[in-house]
Formats: sequence, C-alpha cells, structure tokens
Amino acid sequence: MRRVKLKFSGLIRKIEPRGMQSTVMIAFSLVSFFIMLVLGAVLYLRFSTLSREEMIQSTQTLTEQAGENLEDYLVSMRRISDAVYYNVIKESDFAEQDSSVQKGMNLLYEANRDNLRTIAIYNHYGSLMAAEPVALQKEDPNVSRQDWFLRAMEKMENMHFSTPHIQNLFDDAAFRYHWVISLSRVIELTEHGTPQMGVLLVDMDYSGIARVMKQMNTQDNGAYYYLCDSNGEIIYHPRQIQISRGLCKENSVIASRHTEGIYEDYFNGEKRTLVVNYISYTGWRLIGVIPDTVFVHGMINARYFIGIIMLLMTMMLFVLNQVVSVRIARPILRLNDSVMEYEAGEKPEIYIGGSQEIRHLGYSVQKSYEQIDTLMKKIVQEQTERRRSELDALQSQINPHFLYNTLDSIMWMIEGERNEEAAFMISQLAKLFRISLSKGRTVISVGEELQHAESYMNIQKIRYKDAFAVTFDADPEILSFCTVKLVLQPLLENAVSYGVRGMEDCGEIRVTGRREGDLIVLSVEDNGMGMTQEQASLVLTDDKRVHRRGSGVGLVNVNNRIRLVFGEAYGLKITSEPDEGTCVSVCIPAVADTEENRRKLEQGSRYHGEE
Amino acid sequence: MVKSKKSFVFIELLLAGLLLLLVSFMLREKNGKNRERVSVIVEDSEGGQWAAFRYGLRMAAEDQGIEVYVVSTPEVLSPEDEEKLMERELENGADALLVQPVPGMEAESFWKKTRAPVMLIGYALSAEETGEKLPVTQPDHDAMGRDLAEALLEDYGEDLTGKTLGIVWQQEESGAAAIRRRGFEERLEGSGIEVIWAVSCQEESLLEQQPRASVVVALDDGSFIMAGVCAAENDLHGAVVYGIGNSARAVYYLDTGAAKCLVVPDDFMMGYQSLTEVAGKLEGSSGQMESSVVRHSVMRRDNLFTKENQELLYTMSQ
Repeated sequence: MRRVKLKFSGLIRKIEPRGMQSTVMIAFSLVSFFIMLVLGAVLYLRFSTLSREEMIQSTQTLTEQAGENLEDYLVSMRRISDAVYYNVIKESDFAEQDSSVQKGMNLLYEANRDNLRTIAIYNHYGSLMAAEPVALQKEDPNVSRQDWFLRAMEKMENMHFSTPHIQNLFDDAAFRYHWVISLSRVIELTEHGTPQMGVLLVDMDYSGIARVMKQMNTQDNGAYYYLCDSNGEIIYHPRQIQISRGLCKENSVIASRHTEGIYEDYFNGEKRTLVVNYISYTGWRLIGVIPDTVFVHGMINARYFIGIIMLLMTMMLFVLNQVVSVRIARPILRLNDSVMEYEAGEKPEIYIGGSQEIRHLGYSVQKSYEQIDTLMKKIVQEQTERRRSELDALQSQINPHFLYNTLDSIMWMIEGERNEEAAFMISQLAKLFRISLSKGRTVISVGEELQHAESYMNIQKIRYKDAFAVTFDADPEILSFCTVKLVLQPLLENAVSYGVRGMEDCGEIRVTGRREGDLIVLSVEDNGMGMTQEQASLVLTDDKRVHRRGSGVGLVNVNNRIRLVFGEAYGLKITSEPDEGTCVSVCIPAVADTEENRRKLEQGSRYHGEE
Repeated sequence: MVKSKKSFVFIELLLAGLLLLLVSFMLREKNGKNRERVSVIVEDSEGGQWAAFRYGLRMAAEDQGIEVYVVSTPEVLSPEDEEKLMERELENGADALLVQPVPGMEAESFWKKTRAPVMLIGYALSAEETGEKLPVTQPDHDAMGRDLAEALLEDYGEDLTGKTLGIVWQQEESGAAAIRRRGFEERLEGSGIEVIWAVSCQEESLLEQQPRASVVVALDDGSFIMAGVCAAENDLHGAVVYGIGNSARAVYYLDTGAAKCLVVPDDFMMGYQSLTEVAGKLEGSSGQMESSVVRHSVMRRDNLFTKENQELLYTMSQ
C-alpha cells in the first residue's frame, strides 16, 4: 500500500512541472473528453432505447397487419365453407340434384381457386359425396380416420382448422403432394330426402399462408415471424424443417400460451422479445421474435456513427482547446519571457498585451521594475555619497595630529633659531598640504603620492632629528599611475612610531614602488621591532585597537580607503617578523593617471567595475 | 512549446486515424459482408430427385449466410464434363464446391490442384481414388440396401425359396448402386431367393423385356420410377417392386400401390449438412471438413403419411 502511495506521489511529482499552456490544454481536453464521453453514452442509450421501441413497434404493427390478412384469409375460407353448406348442400338433395351440387361447388371453387385446393363433401361413413375439382379419389384413403374428419365429428358445432398436412385424398397425375390446411365441419346433407350427417372439407392451399409469412420474413436482421396453433404446434416457421429435424428449436409451446401483447422470453440462453398476435376463429398465434442480438446488430451502425461524431467533435474541441489555451497562455508566456530576459540582465520592454488582467499584470511588473531601477540608482548614488563622505572623514583624520606636531616642531625650531630648518620644514609642510588638498581630489598620481610621502618624511626626520634613515626607491614608470592619496603617510607614520622610533640611529625606512604585472605595489619597510604573525593579522582587521602612538589613523582606514576606490581585491599586505622589521605594501591596480580615470574613480566606479 | 505542438499534432493524427478506421468499419458494415459462394454440381440438377437436396441447400444457405449456386447439368454427366464444370465454377468465383462424383472422375487430383474446399455429395469415391481425403455427405448406401432386404424379408418371411429377383439400376457403373446392391444381397444371403437378372436400365422397354421375376428391386430413383411406371401399367409381369428413391414421383408409385416399399434417403439433410460443413470451413475453421451420413426412412403405403414421412415428402415437394 505504501509502495503504491509512493509510486502515485512520484507520478504526481513527475506530472506537476508543466507549462501553463499544457496544463490549460490538458484540463480543457480532459473536461471536453469527459463531457463527450457522457454525451456519447447518453446519446447511445437514448438512441438504443428509441431504436428498440421502434423495432418492437414496427414488429407489432407488422404482426397486426399480417394477422388481419390471415384473419381475412381464414374468414374467406369460412365464408366459402358457409356458402357451400348453406347455399349448395342445404338447398340440394344429393341423390336427385347431384349436378346442381357439383355446379354450385364448382362456382365457388373457381371464384377462389387461388387459395383453394379442394372442396369435398363426405358422408358420416367417410364416403365421398362430391368434390371440386373433380378428381379421382385414391384407393381407400381411409377418410374416417383422418384427423380433420375425426375432429369435425368430435365437436360438431365447430369449424376446425387443421395444422398443415399433405392432402391424402385425391390422385394427382402430376405426381404432386399438396400441403394444405383443412377446414372441416359437420354438415347435414340430404340424400333421397333423408337427412344425414356428413363432413364438409375445404382444403386451403398452404402456399397462401406461407406466402404471407414469407413476405414477413424477408428482412435479414435476425428477427422472424412464425405461426402456431393454440397448442404450440407450428403451422409456419421460416426454419420449420430444421426444427422438425432437431437442427434448431422454437419455444412455441410457451409462446402459444400468451395472449396478445409483448413478452420477454429466455430461450436457449438468449433473451428475446416476443410480439404475440392472436388470430381469431382459429386460436392460432402469430408470433414475432426479436432476439436481443437484433437490437445489438441494429445498433452497430449507430455505434459507429456516434463514435465518428464523438471523434469529430473531440478533434474539433481539441483544436478549439489548443486555440483557447494558446490565447490564454501566450500573453502570460510572453510576459514571463520578458521578465526572464530582465532577470538575465537585459533591459527588454516588459510585454503588455492580452486580456485586461494580463495587461494589468504587465503594467504592474513594468512599474515595479522602473521603481526598482530608480531605487537602485538612488541607492548607488547614496552609497557613492556615503563613500565620499567616509573618505573625506578618513582623510580629515590625518590633518589635526600631524599639523599640531609639525607646527609644534617649527615653533621649537624658530624659538631655537634654527630658521633654515624651520623654513625647510615649512616648505615641506606646504608641499604636503598642496598634495593633501589636490584641489579636493581623492585620487592622485603615484608620483604625487611619493612626493607627499617624501615631504612627510622630511618633516618627520627633522622632528626626530634624523634618528632614522629613509630611502625612496620607485620605478619611474609607476609614477604616472593612479593611487588613492595619502595612503603612504599613515604607513610611514606607523613605521616611525612602531618601527624605528627609539632605535638610536640604526632605524631604516625604505619606501619602494614597483609594478608587478597589473598591480602597482608601494611598500614601506622598516627594520624595527616587528611583530608576530598573529599581531600582523590583527592590524588590518581590528580597527577598534587603541593606538598607542601616531596620528591614530590606522592601517585599517588606509586599507578601507583603497578598497572603497579600487575594490575588495586590493588593499594592504603586511609581512612582519619580530625583531626583523615590518613591511606594509599597498597593492593597487595599474590604472593610468588620466583625467577620465581619475574622474571615474572619484565618482565611485570601482576599478574592477569598469573592466 | 514545440513539445506541446508535437503532442497536439500527434493526438490529432491519432484521432484522425481512429476516425478513418471507424468510417471504414461503417462502410464495410453498410456494404455488407461479401457472401461466400458455393457451387453445387450434381447430375441432372433440375431433376425431381434433387428437390429435397436443393431445399436443404437453400435452408442451409439462409442459415449460414452464404450464396449457393446449383449448376444446371444434363441428365448424364461424364467425368470430363464434371471436371470442366468444377474448373469453370472456381474460375467464376466459387469459394467451395459440392460435387456429386460421377464414376471415373478424379476429384482428388483436382482438389489437390485447386486447393478449394470440395465436399462430395451422395457417394464417396473409393478409397483408392480419394486416398480417404475427400469428405463426403451421403446416406448409408449399404444400410439402405440391407433395410430394403429387411423389408422384403418382413413381407415374405425369412424363407424366400422359390422366389426370383430382378435387380435394376439406372446409373451405369454407379458406385452408390453397387454398394446398395452389395448390402441388399448380403442381407438376403441364405434366404433362398434367386437373382435371375440384374441390369443397368435407361429405358422402361428394356425393363419390360426382362424375364418375369417375383420381386423387382430398383436401386436408385430413376430405376424405381421406371419400375413403378411398368408396374402401374402391369408390364412387370406381376412383380412386386421394392426400391430406393428420393423423389415425389417415386413416392407416388408407392402411394398408388405400384411399389410396395421405398427406402428414402434424407436428401434435405444431405444438402443442409454438406453446405453447413463447407460454410464452417469457409468461415475459417482450421480443421478438415468432416464426412457425415444422413439417415433414411423405410416407407410403405401404411406409414406414408406419418408426420415424419409427411415432412420428408414436404421437402421433396419444394
């Protein structure tokens, strides 16, 4: 059970991710198909019921009509019998008026010869009194033992219709044996003035009834009609001989018990509908049999027809569903495509089309993207402003410490009448400030930065009375590249404060500038006390450290400034060994010092962002 | 999108295919199934002796939904003519044949050549001729001969010493008549009756010229009618006629007292069963067609109009 559940849920998961058009199409198609199926079934059932009713109705009509024809036929036979009896026999004496009897019978015979085989009169011993047409009676036909004679004598007041049989009375020189239905009745005949009993026999040609029945049985759909007497004895059946030979069977005994009407019948494992019609005067039953297979057979074409209609409608609905699903899904798909393109970084027009709702959605998305764009620009602008103010704030941190210390040194020089030194220091300070100001620019050339560093170190050397040595070694080619201004000064300040200060004439600070591929590397190296690797790693990460000495502008600030301008890939690198010294390198990209590059870097377009 | 379009086209094509299939089924149903056709070749096919057989064929054709065509043939058919007729019928579209073999025909070689289902009617060619391969629907000729002899013995008692017998048949070298005669003579062995003549007779005059016999036995319908005619005209020198026949005319001579006993094969069943068997084969039955034997009745004047015999007579009168 669990496995089945898992399988089912797996199937559902498999089915789930579908395009909108497919989903709409499948949903529409399933609904259409279901409706078509129900419609087809209802149509078929209705059609089937109507067809069944129609067939039963037509069978009933046919049996009624044929029954009337048979009744007419039998009535005409009765009339002939009556005419022979009342007009001929009753009016004549057989001994004296033999010829008039014969003449009367002849007239009646000739008038009805199509349906008649024989009219014969027998006395109560079975001796032939008269017959029409005149024929030689067979030698000893044993009339008094024949069924029609016995039945007539048995119930004298009635007329008796026999079942079909071969007429065994007269010699036929053409060697034919006629199949007849005998109408017999007891009569009172007069011979020599003496009334006596006799039997009047009217033999009807069976072919008359057979013809009517054959006409009814011409249809080739499996339904058939047969005639039987009140005991179920078959009078006519389209498969009469097959039944008598046991090749097939008929439920005539049961059927003969029915009165007029429609009956359900189960025979030989088959369900059938019987339409029973009662034939007056005889007690015969005319039975129409409609096996259920006839209804099925009759519905085969209807099935095909309904199937074709269903298929055609399904095809048309499928096309319609496709058109509708495309019509519904296309605007959404196009909107989706334009959104996806937007997400991929392109700037397409957001699709606006389709139904009112989709258009509204398109408008909303477009408006949202426009708002996002505006907000993005605003955020970028705000960030640039923020960076700029941060830079300005960072740079402004330098000035007060240094200026105070320098001016203090100059004052002491002037007071100590070291005027030349004071003048040199003032000139160096002037250079320093000129470069520091740089017309408000943040980005200057490497040459200017080195000049600024040199001025700074000149001032510091005077302050510290040449307690350390400073050397500048920069490749001339790097001088015309861009750098963030005032990045070397804090490094030098740190080198002085933490590196060479107090080393008593043996401190050395070396400033170098090299190009290494796409990088410009400016290094400040000292041979001071150095620091451990752990301490070195904290220098750039821990900006909350309390600066023991120096301007308070930490390497963290320098590193941040470089990254703000050039990007996260650039900044400071520190290598240090305790008692060996420290080397702090400024790594920046090799960006040519042009006005355009400067402007871009100043405006906040980071170096890597331009690539 | 492309996948969806492909699916759409595929489903539409599938539905169109189904539609075409249904339309073709409907048209085929409307046009009706092509009915199989079976041709029947028997000697003197229009003759009264085949009336019940033809009626049986007609009824079986209606029941089985096949078309049956009885080829019009002369009174005497040679083996060559019969083979030509068979070939012609197959060329004309017959799907199977019902053939009454005339003596001398090589039905088996013909059947081998055409491979069309062939059912023999009325008489099986000898085993040497057929290799026991051709199915046959026939009455039990030997039993008919024996029953005829039985009827004779019934009428005269087991001892027929002093009685003379003339045997007549119409079809020259007829295999069926030979079997009937053999059965008849075997049953009469030891009865003391003497066969004084046995002739194949085509004309009544030839029969009249035969020496006087107490009993004349006719082994087929034609000879029975001839004997009946002669007896009715008292040209058989008072001989009592017994015989085998299958026509209303033969029954007539029994009915009028010209003959005393008539053995009648159920030709209706012969026609019905043979065609039903062939129809089964044509319907696609994979097995061989089965031979079958139809029953026969012994008719006398006093039982001529029993229900069963009336039905036999009815089929003969169609």
